[in-house]
Amino acid sequence: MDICFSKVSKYFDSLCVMDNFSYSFQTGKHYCLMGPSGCGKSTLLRLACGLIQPDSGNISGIDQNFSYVFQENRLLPWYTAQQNIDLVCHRYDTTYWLNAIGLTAFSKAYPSELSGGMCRRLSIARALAANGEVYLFDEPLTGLDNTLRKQMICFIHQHTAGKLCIYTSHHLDEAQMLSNEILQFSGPPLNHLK
Amino acid sequence: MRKLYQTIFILIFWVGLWQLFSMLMDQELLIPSPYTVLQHLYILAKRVSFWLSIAATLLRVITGYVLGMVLGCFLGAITWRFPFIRHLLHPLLLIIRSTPVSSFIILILLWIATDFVPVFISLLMVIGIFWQNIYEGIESVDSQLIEFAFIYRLPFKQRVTAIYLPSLRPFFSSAAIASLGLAWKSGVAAEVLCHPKFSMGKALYDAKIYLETADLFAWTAMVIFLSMILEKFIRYALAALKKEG
Repeated sequence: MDICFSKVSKYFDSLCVMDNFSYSFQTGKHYCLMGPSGCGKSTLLRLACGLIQPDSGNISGIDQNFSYVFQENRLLPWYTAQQNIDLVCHRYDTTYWLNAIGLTAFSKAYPSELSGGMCRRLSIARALAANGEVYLFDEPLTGLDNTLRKQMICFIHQHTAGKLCIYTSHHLDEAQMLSNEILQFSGPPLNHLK
Repeated sequence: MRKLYQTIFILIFWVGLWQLFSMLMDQELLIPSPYTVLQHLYILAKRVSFWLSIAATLLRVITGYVLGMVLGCFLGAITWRFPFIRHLLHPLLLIIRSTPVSSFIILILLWIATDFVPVFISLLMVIGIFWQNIYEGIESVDSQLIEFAFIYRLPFKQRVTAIYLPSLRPFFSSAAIASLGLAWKSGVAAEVLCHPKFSMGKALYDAKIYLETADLFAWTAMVIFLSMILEKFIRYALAALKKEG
């Protein structure tokens, strides 16, 4: 199911981050949102999945199951790597996901015992394991080296084929590899450039 | 090993100081020597009533403590969930926090049976601490994790077990430790004022009335000793709970 923004406006106090924004994100396509920090890319993702509500306008398609890789990893600190995936795992099993991201040996480790890159991979694997209908990735490859970036892009593509994915990124090469449509924004308020 | 030596040294230092004061005063009626107190404790321990008093006091305080814990947690959760109830019950929390324990004891003594006054007083001392801590604990649950639970549609039970309970654990632990000593002291104080048949408080009161200072010291030593044991137990239980996950 598509996600359609129709004349959506959003304010944070007096700051307008989105003004009459309209766009339709189509199922099966992978989009990457690019633009300067603070232009409203993350706000768009949060509106798309219903985490925040628009002040005016309408968004359709928010009643779907989402998998979201947040800008922060948001792993449960009191759960091991295995338990973090177990909590939301709806396809394959946890062993598969840990093996796929090279963390089998760390299955019993807590997030505080993992490196930043490991936590990032775990966070991505958790989102994929949840098997949502729509995938939202907020700067998913932050903290990963080039080799891991490429591996993770393949890994993400392998498990999101045919689904709507919306990424955000600051790197053009990364955006080109991740998505088949790059949306350039300026803002705030969020403004689609091309 | 070093810690053991240090503990022994500290013990010898304070018992020595007590002995010194006792010798300087030279009046067993005012400050009995540690040896005399130990002798009296030995004599008391041979009586069945001694153990009955300890058991009854423990039962009363622990009953009040557990009830206060359960009610405090419930009130903390419900006042967080329903702001109207929070505003409605706020004066009650203020009264519990600021009224002197002796006023409560005397008042409650007028209303309920003597045996239950220490239970009620312990409960009252505990309830406010748990109420406040659990409320603050729920307030401070990481909003990012709540968003995570929302996005991944975690069922209510899973939200509670995976996010809320682990987040609340430090708040619960600090309330459990802080309120235990208070429940114990106020429970015994209530017994001193209302003299239930078998109780450490009544024993303390009788020792004072009959000028049995050595007995007074012996009972006080037992109160302190049991308080330490209870605290050790609760710390152990909390650590075991943390390990369980």
